[in-house]
Amino acid sequence: MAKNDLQGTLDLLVLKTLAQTGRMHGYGIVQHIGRASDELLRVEEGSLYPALHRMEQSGWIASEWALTETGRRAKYYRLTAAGRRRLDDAAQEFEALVKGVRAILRYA
Amino acid sequence: MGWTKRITNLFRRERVDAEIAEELAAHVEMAAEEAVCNGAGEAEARRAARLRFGNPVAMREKTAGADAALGLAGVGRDVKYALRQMRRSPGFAATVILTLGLAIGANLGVFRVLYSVLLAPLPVAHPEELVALHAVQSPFDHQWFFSYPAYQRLQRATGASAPVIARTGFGIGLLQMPSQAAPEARFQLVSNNFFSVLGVAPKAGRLFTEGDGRPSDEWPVVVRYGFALGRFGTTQLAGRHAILNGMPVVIIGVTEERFLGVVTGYAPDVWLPLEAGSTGRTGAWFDSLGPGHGIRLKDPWMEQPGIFWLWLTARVPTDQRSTAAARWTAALRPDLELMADAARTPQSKSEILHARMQLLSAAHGEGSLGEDSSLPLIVLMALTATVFLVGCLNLASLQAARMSARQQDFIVRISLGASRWRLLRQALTEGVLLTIAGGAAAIAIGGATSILLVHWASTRNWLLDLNLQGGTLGVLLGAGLMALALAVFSALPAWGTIRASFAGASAPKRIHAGIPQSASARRWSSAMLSAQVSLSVVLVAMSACFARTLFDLSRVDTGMDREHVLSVNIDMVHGYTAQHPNLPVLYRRLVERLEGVPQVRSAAVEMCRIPWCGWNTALHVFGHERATDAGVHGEENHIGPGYFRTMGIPLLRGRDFSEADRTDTPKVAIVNQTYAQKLFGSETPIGQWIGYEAAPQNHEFLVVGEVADARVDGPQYAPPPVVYLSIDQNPAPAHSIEVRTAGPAGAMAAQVRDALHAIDPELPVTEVVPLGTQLNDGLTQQKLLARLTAALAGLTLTLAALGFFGVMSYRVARRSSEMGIRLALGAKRWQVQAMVLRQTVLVLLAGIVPGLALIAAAVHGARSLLTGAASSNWPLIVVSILVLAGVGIVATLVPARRAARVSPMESLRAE
Repeated sequence: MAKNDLQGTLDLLVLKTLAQTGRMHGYGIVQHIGRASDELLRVEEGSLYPALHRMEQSGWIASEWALTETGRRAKYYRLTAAGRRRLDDAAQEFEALVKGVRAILRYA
Repeated sequence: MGWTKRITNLFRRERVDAEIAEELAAHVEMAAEEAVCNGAGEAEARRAARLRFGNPVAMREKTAGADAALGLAGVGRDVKYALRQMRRSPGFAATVILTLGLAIGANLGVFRVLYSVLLAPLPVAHPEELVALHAVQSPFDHQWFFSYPAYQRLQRATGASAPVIARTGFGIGLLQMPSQAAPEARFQLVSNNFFSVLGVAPKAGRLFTEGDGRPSDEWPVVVRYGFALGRFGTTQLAGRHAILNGMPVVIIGVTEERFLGVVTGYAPDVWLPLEAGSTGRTGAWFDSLGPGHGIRLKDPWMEQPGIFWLWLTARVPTDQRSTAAARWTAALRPDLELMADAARTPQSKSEILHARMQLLSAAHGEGSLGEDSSLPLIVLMALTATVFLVGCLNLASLQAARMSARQQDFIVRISLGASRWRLLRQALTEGVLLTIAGGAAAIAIGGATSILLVHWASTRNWLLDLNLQGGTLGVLLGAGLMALALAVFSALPAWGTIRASFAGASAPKRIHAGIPQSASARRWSSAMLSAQVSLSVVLVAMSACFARTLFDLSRVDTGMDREHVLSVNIDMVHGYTAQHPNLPVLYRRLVERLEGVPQVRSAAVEMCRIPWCGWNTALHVFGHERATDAGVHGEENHIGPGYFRTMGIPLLRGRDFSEADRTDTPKVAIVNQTYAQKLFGSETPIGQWIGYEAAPQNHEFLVVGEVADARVDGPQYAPPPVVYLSIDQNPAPAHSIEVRTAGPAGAMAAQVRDALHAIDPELPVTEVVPLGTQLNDGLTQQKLLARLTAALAGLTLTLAALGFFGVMSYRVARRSSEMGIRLALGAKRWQVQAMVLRQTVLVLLAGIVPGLALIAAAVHGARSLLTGAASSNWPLIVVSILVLAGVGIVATLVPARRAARVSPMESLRAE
């Protein structure tokens, strides 16, 4: 079963974003998730940064400071091997969750 | 990896914070930039971005929190938190470390001694196969001795399938080698197969083999490792020549380091072949059938079946024991018949004839130390374990108090989402750190304690030889005690508090009101304090009983004047007597010279040194036929004229020996009161005839006097029956010259020694020591118990004081507002003080009442170690209880005063 559903979902979104973009800073991640979901999902900054730091401590993502296209210093995150594995697990968990929820909704 | 980084993050908190701030700032900037690009005003955009973030400080905190978040990786943070807690209350940390160090250390120390004496296997190959052979006790000394002919028969009976080894008692000798200062050495005679059967390897050179027993000009000897190193500084001694008691010897090897012989606690320095006994220069403990059975002590003992001087040990696999025992019983037949012949009553004859060979495990070593010290060691272990419990209870009640003071902190953190497990782990981390520090202290203290105990358990002249070790059991004990301590003083109080805090967190109002200690928490800490009191009174009372025992025994009327008698110990066996064929003449010269020394009142020689004389004998009364084996046994001492006057033993009837008792006059004897009673009943002893043998030889000595009883075996033993014979008529090597002094005996030692040297510089004086000191040598066990229990009692009183002080201080602090209100409402200060003291008194009473039952049980369990006066001394026990109660009350006075000094105004304002 999926655990920590909501938090897990944010993790999944972030991990997936980094898998797609290679490396990205926090602001970019917010923007990417917004664009990719047609502005359906809006990540709260207040949740994003603690999540990024937590995932970094867990070894799923790594960070480095680099310059943005506009020449600003920003902290960039990228997936690690452990993060890639975590992404697969989280995706499966999410699928299971969605399947389960859908089954409940269709019931009756 | 994550967790290392988290720990490093802990120490770079500021940098991490700055990084997070920069990261978040960058985010806001980027959001603002983009908004500007989309046509919004810059200030507006920045504000919108900030709004989305919420409170920037909270945000930063939250993000930083993730960096040092939980999971396994939080250990470093927990450690840091715990260290901070300890710094905040260094007194508590020090108390815990010290309490655990002393309480666990004392247990480890006592256990190491207990293990080394009672449980440690001999450091030889397959110790479990070793058995001591016991058949019949020797007639006089009641030792499991065998004669040499019996040993040979037993050895032949089982051959290599169950080899038998033999050893003698210890001899004290002079081992003289060039460039060696102190020549004394303890030696033991052993059979040639001693080392090979035990499976002991040489550290250097070789050990005994067949053929080492052949008579030779130079006997081979083996030296113990520790002795070789301590005396000569090297183990490379093989081939060195020396003189032992005037007999040339050559060192052939040194034993391995841990081998201390097979007698627990007493290691010989030098081993000789049994056959070296034929030289007559190696006197050792022996027993015999007694006079009249063809015993010739001057001739080699090896040929005489009537002299018993060997202890036997055999190596037998467990499954062959019954077969071997049967063979040995059969082989011993001639010896049993010989001994039965010499026995006097039909009953003892039949007992001897029906004796069978008993095999007793010798896996843990032989000898009396194990038997004699098992009860004292177990009592000590129990008392030490009690101190540990007291210590744990003490820490538990202190911790409970401390924990509830932190309850508010817990409630706040629970409200912020900390889990039970999280809080418990944090509390436990502190406990583990303190336990580890306490454990480290305990290991050091335990090592020192065990060494101290061995010194306390040893006599003045013989430091017990033990491989001090705790074995696997010791390690388990240490770990178990640490775990138990951790559970009792850390885990349980923490868990209780955390559970209570969860209940408290749902009623947040109490946070502001301050949390008065709940009734159940108060009952719990009172119960622990009471339990501590119960155990403490036992310790204090037992300590008082042991102290009283030692006091009684060291002050008991021994029937001798121990204040004014100086004992000169001499050791004449080693060839010295050969140079002085007429010993009585030598004695007279020595005594005359001594009596010329100022402050010396009189002097006299004696054959048997006090205490430990143990020259057992048996007497028959002329004209009586009521002799049983037990009825006529007693101790025998040969003494010079003036002995009784010198010792302060009063003459009750008849006369003392005099110069008129010579070799050509009838042999005379003096008996003490106990012996007179045993031999003659109500008849007067004066004028009776006695002898060593039954009729018709039972009129060898004429009893001319009766003296009072004296505790010549040591102050703790009842006076034995003693017969005194004249050393002039029955010459024997003197082991002691007793000197009566005008002043305190100790002050005269040097003058007495000089006077003796003036007569004969060669006189082998081993020690000049006051009789009182020498008599108290036998009290090592009592001294050990008294000293150690005193130390334990001191510790437990300190703990009790700490416990009461800590718990009551805490309670007063918790209730200070209540006290303030009481005072504001008109309560007198003394009433408030009394209220606090009343709690202590109740706790004391609740502890002392069950404590009395425990004391009764403990005294009963240890009664054989106590004198009668000490074990039935309730006033002493009451005093020790009062001492403990006093300590509790005094320790409460400080918090009670503090309670009375609470300012009513401040309490009300705080409300």
